[in-house]
This record gives sequence, structure tokens and C-alpha cells, in this order.
Amino acid sequence: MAALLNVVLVIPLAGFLILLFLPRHDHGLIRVTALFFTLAAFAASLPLATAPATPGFQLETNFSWIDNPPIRYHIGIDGISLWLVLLVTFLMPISVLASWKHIETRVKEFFLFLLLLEVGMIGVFVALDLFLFYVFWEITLVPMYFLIGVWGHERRIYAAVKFFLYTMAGSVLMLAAILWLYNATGTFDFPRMQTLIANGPLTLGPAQELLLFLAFFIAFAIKVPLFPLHTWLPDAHVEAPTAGSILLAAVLLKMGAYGILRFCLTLFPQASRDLAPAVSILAIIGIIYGALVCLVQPNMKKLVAYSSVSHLGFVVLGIFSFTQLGADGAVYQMLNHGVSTGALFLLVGMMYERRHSLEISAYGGVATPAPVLATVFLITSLASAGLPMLNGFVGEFLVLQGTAEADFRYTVLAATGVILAAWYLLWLYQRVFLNETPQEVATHMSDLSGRELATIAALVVMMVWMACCPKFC
Amino acid sequence: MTGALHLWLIPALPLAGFLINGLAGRRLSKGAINAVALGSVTLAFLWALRVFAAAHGFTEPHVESYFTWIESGPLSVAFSFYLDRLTLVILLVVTGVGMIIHFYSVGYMAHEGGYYRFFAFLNLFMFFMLLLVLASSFLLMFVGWEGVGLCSYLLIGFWFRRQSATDAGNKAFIVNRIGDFGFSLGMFLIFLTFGSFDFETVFAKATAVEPATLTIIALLLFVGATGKSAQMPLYVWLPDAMEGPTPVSALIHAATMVTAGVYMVARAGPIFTRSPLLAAGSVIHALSGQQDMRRMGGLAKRIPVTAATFVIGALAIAGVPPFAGFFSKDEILLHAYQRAPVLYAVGTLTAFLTAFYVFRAVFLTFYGASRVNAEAEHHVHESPAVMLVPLVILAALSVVGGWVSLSQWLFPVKTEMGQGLELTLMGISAAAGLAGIALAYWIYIARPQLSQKMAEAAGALYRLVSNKYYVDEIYGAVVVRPALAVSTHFLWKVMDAGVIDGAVNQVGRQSAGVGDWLRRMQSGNLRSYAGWVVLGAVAVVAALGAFFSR
Repeated sequence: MAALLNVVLVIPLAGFLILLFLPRHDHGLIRVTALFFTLAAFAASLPLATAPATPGFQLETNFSWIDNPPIRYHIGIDGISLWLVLLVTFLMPISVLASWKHIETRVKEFFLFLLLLEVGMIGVFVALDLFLFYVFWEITLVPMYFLIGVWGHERRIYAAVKFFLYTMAGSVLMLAAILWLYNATGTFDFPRMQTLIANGPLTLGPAQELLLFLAFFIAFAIKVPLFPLHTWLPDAHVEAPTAGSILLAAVLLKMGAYGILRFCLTLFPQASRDLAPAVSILAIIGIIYGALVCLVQPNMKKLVAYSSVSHLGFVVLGIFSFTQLGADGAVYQMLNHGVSTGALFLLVGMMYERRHSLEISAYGGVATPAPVLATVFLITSLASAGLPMLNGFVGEFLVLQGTAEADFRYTVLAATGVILAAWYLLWLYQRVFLNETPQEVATHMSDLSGRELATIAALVVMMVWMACCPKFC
Repeated sequence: MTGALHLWLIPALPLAGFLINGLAGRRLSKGAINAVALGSVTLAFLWALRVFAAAHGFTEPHVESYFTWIESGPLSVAFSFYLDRLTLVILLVVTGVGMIIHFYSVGYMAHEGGYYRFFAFLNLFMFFMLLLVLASSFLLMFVGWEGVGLCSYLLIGFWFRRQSATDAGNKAFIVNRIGDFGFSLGMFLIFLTFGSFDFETVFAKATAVEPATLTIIALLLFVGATGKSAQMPLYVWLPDAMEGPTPVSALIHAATMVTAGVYMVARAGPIFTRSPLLAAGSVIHALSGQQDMRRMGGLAKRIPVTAATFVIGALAIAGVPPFAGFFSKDEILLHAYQRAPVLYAVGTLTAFLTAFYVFRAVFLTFYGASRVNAEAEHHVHESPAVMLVPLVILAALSVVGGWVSLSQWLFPVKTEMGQGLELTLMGISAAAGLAGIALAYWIYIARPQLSQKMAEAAGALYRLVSNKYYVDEIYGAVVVRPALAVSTHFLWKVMDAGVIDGAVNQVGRQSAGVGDWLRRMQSGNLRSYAGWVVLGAVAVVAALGAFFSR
């Protein structure tokens, strides 16, 4: 069973290596190979869900990678990372399918980067050695930089550079903190470091703890993104190709929240608690601010991007409520957001392929020529707006209930985000799908193809399933 | 608990109907769609009858648990149903009225596009309504609660090619959400206070909680009921709800949405009774009449059966004995009198106004001059039997309903009140209703020119009222437009793009500038490198000198 986690990590890497040797002009073969490996990784990851729900890390592999300094290949999962790994492997085949027709230039390179990205994303969630974690963290940066910069829209270079530098600025701080911790403890191993800090001999002074916390936290907060460190996100999302947007929203943002949960809270508990009010307020500002900016976006993709700022605010709020409900809700909200926002980007991508515009004003009355597309878009929007019986509700509810325990005022403020979500999503829906259909729209907007329907159906099924059977470890 | 009643079947049947018609309806014949939609609600009604037969003798509430829905730390919410006498009655009403509406819609929708879609929505509405009614906890009730709001959105915006319909649908959903905001906050407080969402646990502990907390919870829940039952200040969505397929969405909203609000207040009774908010129920009840007026308005004299049934419904709403509304209203007012006489006075006044408004509608709609527009005029004809029979049944129920001594059975606790006082109150309540009708008659039939004169005399006030108090405009001017303007011109364009992103880009530009300046050191010119080396050496020596001379 312990080998399983390595298998999940190795399959996309193997796919990457095999893809390197495929003829670059055989696009069909390249696509099928990429789909095969992502599906294989998904299949291999499914048994992880049956891992017994015991506290602590499981399925660990731990051997020396570099002897001096002592960097180890130490991986394992717990109740948080398990689901995030599954989220990655579940969304990868969907991202491949979303790129099936969308990507026509440099096809081989595109899928190479996609598979490399999968290795990085899984690695981030399973790494238990801080140095290894940092390596995977940086690995995700490179493919995403190219996905945006090469296959993106008009302002792709600006967006890609901005994404890279923004994230890099945070990562550098984190690297410095990791090296400081290594100097103090002589190890990069996370569980060991945790014990050393919790039970001595390493005692951090308040100022030290605060600085180390901030170094990690800023890196993660940029990724989440937490207001006011979010401005890379709308640009990156709008410019990225569909698969890039899906993975960016569904997984890369979660790396930030995961990092906070995994490292900030466990290594620097006191600083986390001390700063909780400040962070909570930033999260609430993000929830309301993001939602308000959503309301007035003329661009669909930008609207969905800002909705992520709002939704991830709930995640951070839940984490910093320091309650069981809040933490569970935050993790669940991470998964929910991955599915429903991933689906929104997928659908927007499908619409772009038909109409070649992301402007809301270029659409209208799409429900008439494309009723199936309209139906799944409505379901996805409602899921994103947190309607009960769809997945978004459970996470938001738990976060708000957990926050109520910490400070009821936070709950009152954050819950207004739920009203605003209904407002911006239904208004978007009305302007794009309802009312009279202009001639332009009628000629371009054909309904979903079989491949497209299968791709989105997988996500819609998840939305319903996750709403009815939320299980926590 | 006496054996399983399989309560889950009741909501599951319309849910199955929704799924079948929703997924495959486009390829099904009308007959098949009818069979699925009507069949599922009829079966649900029959099962509800069976449950009624089996359970009406129960003295203890009956709870059926199916699975654990959400579990996290101290919180565990089961997906389970709760059945007591109140549930039993509402269950029959909802499935019964729902079934009648389904049959009625067959005639009404016969010539409309999107036939399958309409029935799928109707089935979904039934599902959520039944979930709301059967829920054993506040959280599950909230699921049904929000779901019903979703269905109003879908039904009101049914003709989605029409801007006015989609506007109305959005408005309904968003305003409902504002109400739900209150409901959810109330729910969070309930869990904080009681450590559970279960009705049984909450009610058992309600007496041990201080009234101040209960009052806040009750107030918040009441905001939820306000949104759903379309009361001030959250009623704005309702007048526009006309945009849906008219009588059907009218019936469904009058018959069920309002019931949802009232049911919630009744369900949460132990919370409300210990706070002075019981009378809230009477307000909800009394105002429900307003809705019918706006919906049914425009039907002309040519439809005598419809008119007759409508008048009967109006009488019931006005609380005239012996119609059903009288008894329920009387019961509520009686309780209000016991708790807070002020609220009783407000309630009675409201009852009077309700009677006035409803009969204003009756007189204007059926007896006044035709104010129907050309398009609607063309549609006005007496309805086919499939529509009339349900109306007659509903009217009959509102006559007979009162005679079934429902409240005695529902609340077997005897009121400790003198028979005489109760009769007096009943008299006042009936008189209030009759007085309202009389006033409406006097103004709109006996002196038709009077309302015109009043309008001139009262001028501004009348215009204010006839424009729905300009509430839409006020909300637009105070909430919607400022929110959009601030979001566009401050948050997005100034804050986001200007301040934050400006700073980010500035950092980028400055770094590039510094880099550009530093680049000059790497000129490739050997002599300049030599110069830098000398300069550097001098600097190091100077620094060392300064360090050691201290």
C-alpha cells in the first residue's frame, strides 16, 4: 500500500518521459497518451480513499536523497492531503480533455508541461521534507508559467511574468525561512521538525516565531490569494488557456491554503493564533471585496477569477477560526471550489471556443441554441453560489458555523458574501444565457458535443455527490 | 417510534419525477411527461394519506433517520425526517394542494413550450417543499428552504427569453437569499446555544435558555420567514413574480411559499413562544392575502367559476367565519392576546387591512371595468375542467377546512382562557374582517368615483402607495446602484487596478530601473572594471579602517 503513493507520483512522470519521445506531429497519439497517463494516475489514486482514517501520516516512504545536507525523499499523506491528491488526479484527465481541440499549436510541449505540472502538484501535497516540498512547489511554477505565456491570450506575457514574479517573491521568503529552520534544527524533515519545536529543544522567541510565520505565510497568502496579494490572479486566469485556468483555480490556489494548514499552524501555533484576527479580517475583506468586484466585471473569466478571491476567503477564515468545524469546512471548501470553479472555467472555455470572446456583452440568450450547456452552467453556478444539495453549501456552512464559535461578527460579515455570490452569478447567467438571442450568438453557439458533455458531467456528478456524502477524516 | 413509515418515499417520488423529466423530458411525449409528473405527486399524496392513516394516533413524534449527512467534530447532522401532528397536516396540505396544482397545470400549460421543463420544476418544487416540511433539523429544513427559493427562481423566470421574466426571477432569488441570510445566522446561533440542530434537542432545551438569546434567534429566523413569505421589507420580488406562468406560480406561491414561512414559525414554536414574536405568525398570515390580488388581477367576468372560487378564497383569507382562514387567524390572534396585547391590536388591524385589500382585488378584478391588456384579453376564457375542478376543490377545502377542529387537534393543550373572552375575541376578529370588506365595497363599488377623489386629495401619499412605496426604486438607488458604482469606480478601477496593482507594477519598474543602473557596471570595458576594482578596494580599506579605529 505504501508503494501506491509513489506509483501515483511516478505515473505522470513516466507519461512525461514517454511523451518526450513521441513524434511531435502525431497530435492524436500525443493527446491519447496524455489522457492515458492522467487516467492511470487517477485510477491508481482511487484506493487511497480507502486508507483507514487514523490520525497522523500514512503510506510513508522515507529514504535519503542527498546525504549532506540531509535532504530526504519523505512522502506521506493524511486526511487533508489525501483528498487534495485525489482532486489533482481527478481534474487532470478533465484538463486534458478540455485541451483536446482547444490546443492546436505546440501540442506536444503543451501536454508535456501539463504532465510535469501534475507531478509538481501531487508532490506538493505529499512531500514531508521541507526541501522536497520547496522543490515541488517551484516545479509547479515553471509549467504554469509556460502554459500561460505560450498558449495564453493577448496579454499572456505580462500575465505570465506577473504570475511568476509574484509567486517567486513569496517563495524566496519561504526558502529563507526553511534554511533558517534547517540551521536551527539540522533537519529538513517536517514531522521531526514539528516535534523539535513542539517538545523542544528548539524554542522560538516570539519575534522569531512571528518572522518565520510571516515568511511562510506571505508565500502561501500570495498563492491563496489573500487580499491584498491577489492581483496576479485575475490576469493569470484571464490569459491562461482553459486547462491552465482550471488547474490554477482548482489546485494551485489550494497549495497556498494547504501550506498554511500544514506548516504555519503546526510549526508556529502561537504566532498563528496571535495573528488570527488580522488574517480573519483580511479574509473577510477578500470575501466581500472579491464578490463586489465580480459584480462589475465585463469579462466572464475575470469574473470567475475574482469569485475565487471571494471563495478562498472562506477557506482562510475557516482555518483561522481554530475550530474543528472551521478547519473541516476549509478543507471541504477547498475541494468544492476546485470542482465547481474548475467546472466554471471549463464551461467558459467551451464558450470561448465557439464565440471567440470572453466579454459578457458578446453573449445573450445562449440557452435557446444551447440548452444543455445552459443547464450545466446553471447547476455549476448554483454550486458555486453555495446552494444546498450542491457541494458548495457544506463547506461554506461549516466554515461559517466554525467562525461563529470564534467570533460571531465575522460570521455575519462573511455570510453577506453568500448573498453577493447569488447576485453576481445569477446576473452573469441572465446576461449570458437568458433573454433574446442575438443572431451572432445563435449562429456560433452550438450545444455541447459528446466529449464536452462527458467532461462536464463528471464534474456535475461530483457536485451532487459531494453535497450528499461529505465524509471527514 | 412505531415501525418504519418510509417517509422518504414522499419527497423521493417527486424527486424521481424531476430527474426523469429533467433528463429525458425533451424526448418524451406529453402523455409520458404527465404520467411521470402527475404520477409521482399522486403517489406521494397517496403515501402521505397512508402515513396519515398509520400515524394520526401517535402521541409521540416519529423520527426516521436515514444516514449521517454532515459530521465534523461536535457537529453531527443526520438526514432524518420528523413527523408530528403539525407535520402530518402540512404534509397532507402540501401533497394535496401540490397534486391539484399539477393537474391544473396540465390544462394551463397545454399550449406552452417547455412543457417538460415546467413539470420538472414543479416536481422539484414539491421535493424541496416536502424536505422542508419533513426535516428533523433546522439545517435540513434550510436545505428545503433554499431549494424552494431556487424553484421560485426557475418558475418565475420560466419564459426565459423575456427580460422582465428573468429580471423577476433574479430578484426573487436574491431577495430570498437576503431572507436566508437571516435564517442561516439564526441557525448558527441555534447551534452555538443548543449544540444541535435537531428540533427535538432544541425544543427540549429551549426553556433553559435565556429569553434574550431566544429573541435574537427568533428575530433572525423571522427575517428568513419574511423573505420567503414576501413581507416588508423583502416583499419586492413578489409583485414581479407574475412573470411566471401566472395562476400556477401564483397558486404555488400562495399555497406553499407562505405556508413555508408560517410552518417555520410554527415549527420553531418553542423558540417563538418564549419571545414576544408569536404574533409574527399572524402578520404573515394576514398579509398573505395581498399576493393573490396582484396575481389574479386581470381576469375578467367571463370566468364565473374562477370568480366564485376566488371570492371564496378571498373570504377565507379575510377571515370571515366560517371559512378556514377565520379559525387559523383567530387561533393566532388568541395566542397573541395572551402574550402581548399590543401585538394583538396590530394583528387585528392587519386583519382588517387584509380583508380590505383582498376585496379591493375582488371588486376591481371581477366587478370593475376591464383593465386587461390586449394580449391577456385574448387569453381570458373559462378554464377547462382539468383546471376548474382543482379550483373548486381548493375552494371547498377553504370552506370545510375551518370546521375540522384543526387547532384543537394540533395543539391539544387547553388554553387557560375564559370561554367568554375567547368568544369576544372571535367576534372582534370576525368584525375586523367584515369591516374591511365593507370598506372595500363602499370605496370601489358603491362610490367608484371616491377612490379617484381620494387619490387626488391624498396626492403624494396615494402615489407613494400605488407605486409600491417606490421600494424598488429606493432599493435601486440606495443599494444596487451605489454597490455597482463603488465596485466599479473604487474597488476595481482604483483599489485593484490602481493602488494594489499599481504598487506591484511600480515594484517591477523600480527593480528594472535599478537593474538597468547596475547593468552599467558590466560594461565589458576592461578599464572601467579596473576602475571599479580600485574603487571597491578603497571602500573596503576605508571600512576596515573605520571599524578598527573605533
